[in-house]
Amino acid sequence: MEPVIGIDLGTTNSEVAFVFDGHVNIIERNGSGIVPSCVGLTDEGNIIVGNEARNQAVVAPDRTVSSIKRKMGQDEKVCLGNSEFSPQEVSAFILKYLKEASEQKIGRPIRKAVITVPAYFTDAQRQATREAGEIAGLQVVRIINEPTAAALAYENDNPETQQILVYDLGGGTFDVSIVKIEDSVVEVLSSTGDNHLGGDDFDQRLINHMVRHLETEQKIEINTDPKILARLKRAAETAKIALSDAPFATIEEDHIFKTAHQDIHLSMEISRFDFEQMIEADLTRTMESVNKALKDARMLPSAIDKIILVGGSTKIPLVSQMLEKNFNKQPLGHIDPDLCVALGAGIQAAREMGITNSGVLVDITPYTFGTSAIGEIDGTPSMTMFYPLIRRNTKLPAKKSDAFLTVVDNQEAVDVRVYQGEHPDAEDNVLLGNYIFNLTKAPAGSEIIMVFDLDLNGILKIHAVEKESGKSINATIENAISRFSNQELLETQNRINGLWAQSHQEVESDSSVATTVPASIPPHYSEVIEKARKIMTDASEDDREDIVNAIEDLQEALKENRLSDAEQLKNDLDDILFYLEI
Amino acid sequence: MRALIRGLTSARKVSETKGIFRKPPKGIEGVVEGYEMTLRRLDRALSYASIAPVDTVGRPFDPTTMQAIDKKSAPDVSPGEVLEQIRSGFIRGGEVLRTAQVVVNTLEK
Repeated sequence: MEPVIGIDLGTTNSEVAFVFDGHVNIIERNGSGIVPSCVGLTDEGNIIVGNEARNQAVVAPDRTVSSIKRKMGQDEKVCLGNSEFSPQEVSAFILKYLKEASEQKIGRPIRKAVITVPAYFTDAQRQATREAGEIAGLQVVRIINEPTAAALAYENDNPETQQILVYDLGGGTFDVSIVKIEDSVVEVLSSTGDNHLGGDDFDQRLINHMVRHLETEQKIEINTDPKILARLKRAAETAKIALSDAPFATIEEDHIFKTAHQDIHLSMEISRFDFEQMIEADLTRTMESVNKALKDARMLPSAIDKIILVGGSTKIPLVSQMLEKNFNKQPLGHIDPDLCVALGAGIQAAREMGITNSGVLVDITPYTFGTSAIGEIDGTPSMTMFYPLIRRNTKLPAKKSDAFLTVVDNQEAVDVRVYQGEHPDAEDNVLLGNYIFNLTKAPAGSEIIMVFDLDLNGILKIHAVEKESGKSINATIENAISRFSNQELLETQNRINGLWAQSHQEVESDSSVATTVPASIPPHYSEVIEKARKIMTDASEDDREDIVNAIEDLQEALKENRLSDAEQLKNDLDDILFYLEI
Repeated sequence: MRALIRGLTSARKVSETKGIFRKPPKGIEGVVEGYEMTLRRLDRALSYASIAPVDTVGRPFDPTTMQAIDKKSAPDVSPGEVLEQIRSGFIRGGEVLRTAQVVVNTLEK
């Protein structure tokens, strides 16, 4: 069977995928599967593609070409050093690079490919893409639309007829399409978008924000030195990515700027809220396009069965939130939005090889994990609103955090509860753990950051930090995913609900703090204690005494539910063990 | 590893900018010496992990390990040579862990 590869030939980045043992995977070269769609010519006259070409763009703009996709189908030629190339020829260099990477990985010559194009591409643009493939030595067995590929990545094995909205927000372009999938055939019903909107615009807004901050804080004028801009750009990108999973991001760039007298460092914090305000207008515009796509397809939002997120910028939580609000449906993003189209192209390529049932293998959580907070359930104030941190269908491993506020002045503690389930009322979900976090004195509104970290083995780590003081507690829940079958889940729910009725009354009588003692020592601690007991047998008398005391203190702290003390004592014990082990 | 590299870079900058304009405060030698010892230790730790910094200044620009951030014109230096390093880069074996950011000499008319 002749191998066929699937290629996403993007404006900013390109990727290639292939089916291995029924599963479609991205082919990596030099540790990365994402290849910048950039072509350059070196001093010696050699063609370079990807990161290398992008790296030289600043010093050799006349020998570097990027975003060639925007020119596909036009007669215009581009200069690369002293030679002229058609857009097809430049694209062919990228395709050749991907073809070679595939041949290295697959170990066979590759002559056939499936290539994706935007749904709005004209016949001339599609023809140019086909030619680019041929120049690169690839017979393009099929050109498919990008939203079609994305739908295939998610739904290849689903026989149901479905109408899917594909929301694709990349580095520099935005597309929204509505596709219909029926008998494994995907049809694009409508497609619209904005050719110049994406993550790069969001980075720029963050950069402007940082420059304003420096100018007002330090009372200096920032020039647009490319060296400084390069660092700010990188810092902006990093902060943007961090804010997708956390409520705050710290930006620290030392020696960013020099005045006559002193070095200026940039140290600031950006909240997710601030960032969301910067980009809200842009995102609102994308939602208008979404409505237009619906209108073009003559559809109501309720006719959409699924929403698929494509493009790196869809990792921004506000995107999902806005879509969820409009459609009352949680959008799907568990197949890496940067790779989704290429993986779909890989599935189509596998079909061309006669493999119809290939799919993308992703580990996802089947449940939502979250905590409870004071809030509203269906518009009614509640003490037990379920606040999801890691949503169902999130790709694993996942680490998500959010900020919560204390309710009263000098609040003594918060009752950190960890739930698994989908119900908006936390009490109707399964309680996995319950931890009392004793706080330092602070006015109401003091921020507590909750971090949930769920790994592939279903181990859920919980970390709560008091933002002002840095005081924190940690907890670990083993088997967070696999511990319940559906039947067990139901039984546990009933049992918990029964128990809850009793303990809940206590909660109300006892203002903001409930106290329940954990039934057993968390494994996080028992491991250390176990280890300490083992090492103890070979230790000197003095050391043995130290260990015995440390274990006793730790057990005492756990019994009394002083988790932060316990954590400290555990660290002390860890230290003792560390020295004894060597 | 990335955090380690960042810390190393910052520490190196601090130890390089020891009071040129101002009179150094008393005891600063000790601080600088301490920094330098830490740096040497970090360097050794990196070399144990077979991680080496990318040689930049004075070498020809190499897009596989360096990214050009800016260009300048220095007539007495050969074109294409790296003039300045903005951010250090690191390699392990053939793999680029972090691309160096540099300023490259170009001959402009």
